[in-house]
Amino acid sequence: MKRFFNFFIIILSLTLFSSCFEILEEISLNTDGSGEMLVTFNLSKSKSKIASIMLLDSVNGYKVPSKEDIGKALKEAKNHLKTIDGISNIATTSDFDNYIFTISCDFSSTANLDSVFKDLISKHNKKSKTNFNTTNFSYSANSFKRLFSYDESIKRNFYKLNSEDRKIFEDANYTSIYRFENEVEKVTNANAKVSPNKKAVFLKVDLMSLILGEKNITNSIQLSK
Amino acid sequence: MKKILLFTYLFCVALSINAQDLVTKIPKDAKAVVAIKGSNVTDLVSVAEFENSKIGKLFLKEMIKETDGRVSNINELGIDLKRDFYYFMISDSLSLKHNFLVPLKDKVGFEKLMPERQKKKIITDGDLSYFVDSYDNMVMMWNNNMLLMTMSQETYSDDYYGYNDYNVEELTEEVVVEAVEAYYPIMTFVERDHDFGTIIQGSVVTHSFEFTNTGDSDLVITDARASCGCTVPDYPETAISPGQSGEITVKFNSKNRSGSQYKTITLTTNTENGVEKLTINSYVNDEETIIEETEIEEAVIESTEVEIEETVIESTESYSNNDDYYENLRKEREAKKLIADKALVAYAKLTIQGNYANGSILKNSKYVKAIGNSKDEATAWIADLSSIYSDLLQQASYGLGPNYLGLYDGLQNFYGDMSLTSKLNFEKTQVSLKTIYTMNSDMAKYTEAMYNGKMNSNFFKFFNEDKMLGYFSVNMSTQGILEAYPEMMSKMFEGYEDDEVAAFVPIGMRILSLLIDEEGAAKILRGDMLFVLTEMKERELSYTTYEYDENYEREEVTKTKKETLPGFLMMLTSSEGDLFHQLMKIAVKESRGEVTLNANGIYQLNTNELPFALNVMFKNDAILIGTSFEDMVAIKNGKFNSKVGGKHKNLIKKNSSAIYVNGQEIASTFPREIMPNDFKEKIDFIAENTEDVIFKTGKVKKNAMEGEMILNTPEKGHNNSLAYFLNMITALMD
Repeated sequence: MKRFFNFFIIILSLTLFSSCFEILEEISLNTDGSGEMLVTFNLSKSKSKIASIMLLDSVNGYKVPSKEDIGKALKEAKNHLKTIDGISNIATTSDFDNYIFTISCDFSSTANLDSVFKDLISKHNKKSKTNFNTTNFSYSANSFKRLFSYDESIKRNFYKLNSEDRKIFEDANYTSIYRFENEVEKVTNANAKVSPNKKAVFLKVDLMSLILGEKNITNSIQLSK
Repeated sequence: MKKILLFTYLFCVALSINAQDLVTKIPKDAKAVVAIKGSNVTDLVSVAEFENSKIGKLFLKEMIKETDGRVSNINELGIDLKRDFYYFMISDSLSLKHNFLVPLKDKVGFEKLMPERQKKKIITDGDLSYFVDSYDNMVMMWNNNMLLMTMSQETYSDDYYGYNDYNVEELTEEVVVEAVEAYYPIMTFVERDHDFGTIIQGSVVTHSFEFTNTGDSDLVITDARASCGCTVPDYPETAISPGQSGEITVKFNSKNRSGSQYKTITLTTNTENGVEKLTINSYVNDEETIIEETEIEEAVIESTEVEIEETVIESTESYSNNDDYYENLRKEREAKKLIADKALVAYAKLTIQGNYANGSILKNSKYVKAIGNSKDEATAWIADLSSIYSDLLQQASYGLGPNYLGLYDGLQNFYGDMSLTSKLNFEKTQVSLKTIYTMNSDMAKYTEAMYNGKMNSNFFKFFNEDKMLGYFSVNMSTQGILEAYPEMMSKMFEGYEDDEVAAFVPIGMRILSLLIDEEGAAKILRGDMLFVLTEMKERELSYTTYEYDENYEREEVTKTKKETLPGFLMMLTSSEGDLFHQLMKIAVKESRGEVTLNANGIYQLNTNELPFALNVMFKNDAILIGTSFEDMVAIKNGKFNSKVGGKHKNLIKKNSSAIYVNGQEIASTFPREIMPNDFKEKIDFIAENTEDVIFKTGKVKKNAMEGEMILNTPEKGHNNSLAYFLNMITALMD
């Protein structure tokens, strides 16, 4: 009986419910190089799918995390941030009704943010020789840089996933918003938009073209003095 | 007199040509039989129709490729598609033998299929041709009437490559010697070395090594190789019978050679050693005195090659004691293998003759009764599962006997006399696969009790067959399960020899049955259940996303999107209405608003953990759980427009479980917008060409339980259900 219902749910979630999500990266940068960062994972649009998947123990051979698992992961991330110098005021939120999760913190320099990613990369990239850059953000001489070097291994690994799993990324997108105290003079990324008040830069990329290397989020933003 | 003789002769010819059904080749004690009725299949779809279908064309293409164009249509295969194909399995305590019987029109077509390499291995014996594949324990034997393929699968733990044959060693030695003498062909040469003397560089010389097979069985040479490309050996490709002679011709080309030449020719044979060696020598006189450097090099390499070979030969000759041991083991194995091969060939010959003292499977009343004289296209029958288990258990219990710890007795109680019959039938507008389990009376008693549920007729008041996509019904008896289970367990462990377990299980089970009030438990849930998929409904779903003002300050907004959700109604029989209401009251109180009691007396479960809201209520001795609030209210007020015809009522009531899928309805209501474009056409095609599918498991009747899968196919556009499959494949394949 339980098998029947599991089967029923899997059919539902694989055929009927669309899956899409958005990742939002927001940074407010002060002139001295310190600032705030907020990362949001919004899975609200695919909440039916997630709700039904979460009724199962595993799907497509992957273990489905429970609410507790997700809470624990957020807490671990928080604890990890606490160990990094220059990172303070760490906060996480989780909304299991809409499946929106956020993590935010204050940093005293962009180098602090880099060390967050550096740790993560060295933790997860031990075996595969992916050429991830460990400098993601830099700020000097009124120039803010978001760096991202695309590596072919991303595409390779993506194609290693089966087509069902690949679909997850089809309707997902990545948005970054950087806010500054000074006005923006110039941006290098053609897809980035500058707000009329010249104090914010907005960049929205669908995750698929990011994965396939068709678009890039690298941006160099020149600010007025 | 002459006329009588002629008549008898013609009669015999007619008999062998108008060959009898191959079923007579299956012995009475076969443990499993699968039959494919050739004529029934070709009546539905002719060979030409098949060849013209997409899958047929693929098949032909593959066949032409595989046979290098030797076979270009199905007729040329030489298989007689008008007659029946069989598989049967026989088992004894040592092995399982799997046999395939294929009717042939003539052997020419079949032999065409084989690659040349394979053809060389064919041994002919009268009108029979065969080859043995020792590695796979397989023999393939055929004549103009039929083909038999037998594979022997050892169940007795005689591990050829294991280390546990120390105790066998001494015993087998005599057997081995005997076996070797009796079964290996012996290749006796007049001479094994030949000296061509001095020859002039560039000349080609030839020598024939004559030999006689002085052994007792056919000699087969499968390969001949020389240690140098300059030497080409030629060998007879047919088997050499005992007493017969043959020759190996060796051609030596002295072009680009000079000085002393020594070449080895290695024959791969079925003699005791597996290989036989011949050598040729010569001295090549080069008239040109200038020898190119490369030639010297070549000569040097060659001489080293020869040296290496010589050393190898030496080392094999000077086996240490330890090597002797392994050498003996190897010989032993090979001898055993040879005996096994011999036995397999003898078995195959007997099977092709098919003159069994006890008669064929047609004398087996159980088989005849189970299969009947049906018009099914394919049937499968497995006799007495327990005897197959016992043969297998003998191996599994490491020689401790099949009744290790009395476990087998327990199995016997359960699976004794249990058999299984399957019938695949293609009708005009349906395909059915029927499976019948026949069990012994003990097993039947328990199974009957468990599945002897009674479907609540009130369920039929709660759904409308015109508006459903399918259903799943279970007709079990909670009381029957709770009563039968403890009894079944104690029966299973009755003969168990381990005292503690033997004593504990029946006591434990007795306590269990005392503790549980079967009737009481059955009141809460009687065991019958019906799950109806009522609709595929589009609904609006709100979700959160972000909008950005001109300064890219984000704002959380709620948007809606359309999503298709299935609607269902699940019905369970319970006579404990009071208990239900009490439990729901607790739920309302404890769930912090997730469960609410509606004014209509319907409990609503609204939680983000489920993709849909659920409505729960108790009505007419049934617990109803469903997605549609409107339907629930209508049911509650007795205003629901129900409609269930006899077909579905019978399907649900008379079976212990049934699954019905209304393929047409599902395919036509399937949300198209989420499908890729090229898929939409296929979905449309399926929607137009699909009827429904039924899986059902009957109740226990006369110690048998019947399961059946029925696929109904549309009449329009398809000659019959088999043609339907070919058409579907053609349409969907791309």
